[in-house]
Amino acid sequence: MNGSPRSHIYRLLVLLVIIGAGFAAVRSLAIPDSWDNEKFYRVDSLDDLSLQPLRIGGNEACAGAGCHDSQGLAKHEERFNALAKGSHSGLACENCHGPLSDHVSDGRRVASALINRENTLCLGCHGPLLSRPKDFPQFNAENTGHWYFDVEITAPCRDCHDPHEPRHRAALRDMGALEVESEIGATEQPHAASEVAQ
Amino acid sequence: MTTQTSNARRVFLQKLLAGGAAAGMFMVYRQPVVAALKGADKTAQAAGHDYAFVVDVNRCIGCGQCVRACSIENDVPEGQYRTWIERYVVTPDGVHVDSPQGGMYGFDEVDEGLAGEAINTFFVPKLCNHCAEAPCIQVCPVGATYRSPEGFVLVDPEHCIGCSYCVQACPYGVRFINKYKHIADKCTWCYHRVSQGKLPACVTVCPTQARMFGDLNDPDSQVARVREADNWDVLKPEAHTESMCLYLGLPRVVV
Repeated sequence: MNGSPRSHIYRLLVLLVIIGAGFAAVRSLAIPDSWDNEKFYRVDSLDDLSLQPLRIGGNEACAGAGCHDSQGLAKHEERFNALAKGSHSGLACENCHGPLSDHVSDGRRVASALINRENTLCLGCHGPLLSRPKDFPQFNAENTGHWYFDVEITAPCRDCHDPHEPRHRAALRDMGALEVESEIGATEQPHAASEVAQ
Repeated sequence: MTTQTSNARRVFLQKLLAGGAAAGMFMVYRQPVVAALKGADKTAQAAGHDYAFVVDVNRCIGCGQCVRACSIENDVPEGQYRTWIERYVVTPDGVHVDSPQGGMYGFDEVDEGLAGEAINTFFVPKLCNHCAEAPCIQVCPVGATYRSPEGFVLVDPEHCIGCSYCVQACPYGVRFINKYKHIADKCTWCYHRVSQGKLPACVTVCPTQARMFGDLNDPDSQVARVREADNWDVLKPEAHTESMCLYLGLPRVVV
């Protein structure tokens, strides 16, 4: 009551200072350390995101760079080199054998790689679909080999085709398909031709 | 006395004008000035990598390997997809598009009735276009989504508040709210893989090389050659997003 006649102004100033300090404190806590005001993002988030673990290794991981077992290493290398030359060279090992992380973790083998012998695996790519590119090999019961041996779509593909080199002659020779080739000669069906031809 | 005062005032006004003009110039051209003052690190980074993605529609067989690999690699929740495959069936009555489970497990044959009418049918893989002028970045209220200097449009998982403005802003529908993390989620072009010198998971597993990824600054890369050949398209060019996913053999019917 008997204070300064300007005390209400002082109180207001003190209040403003407190509000200002509070705002500054909250603001500094809310803005991350590595915030870049020009780019307007948290620069450290790039490092955070790059730490996500890999689950798909790619073929180079299967070629044996990290495998400690020399026998396993040789096997993988052989497969890798064979695959690289064949008609399935565009495929990743993990297409059929499952993700690397299910097989190797922290540089150690945790489980066998998946081996799927079902024909559904093959038909996932080679099953006939109208929407697939016309030049992509799709199962056709009418083509030379399939027609000759009466192969239905339900038959196990592996009986004749090596999945690592499906156009390989060996399997076909065992089945007598090479005689078929000479009997019938070259046909206009591209799949059949490429299958038995070298 | 009088002349002295008027001179001083004139000099003051002149300086004020010059200073004001300089300040105005700085405000208008602030970014280049700040960049110049900070040194050339920004330009050096930009010169390092400029990534792009190429999708060849003519090569896609709709096997779903890419969708499966992406889900495994990035722990994408079931029923949500960072990349997916659409099947287009163009008939005289209209265009039928389907993508059962994102094409993750491949496709069943087209219905017989539809197959009979089909004029054209093909698969179109879709993913984040990592636009140079990304609408999702513009709308983010907290700066949780941004474009890295190498061209990755990314989400900062610690900063995202899950408001889903970006989900609505994306013209391509590539963003979603992760149902477990409750933040915006999308294709990152496998930033974590690329930063370790690997290819994105979908590119790694694509059996027909329908998906390609590389650096536009490397003139020998596939993507640089594709861009040079200039026969590519982008999705929704009318959106002016400067999409960095170049499509080869993209029929005009695709949206």
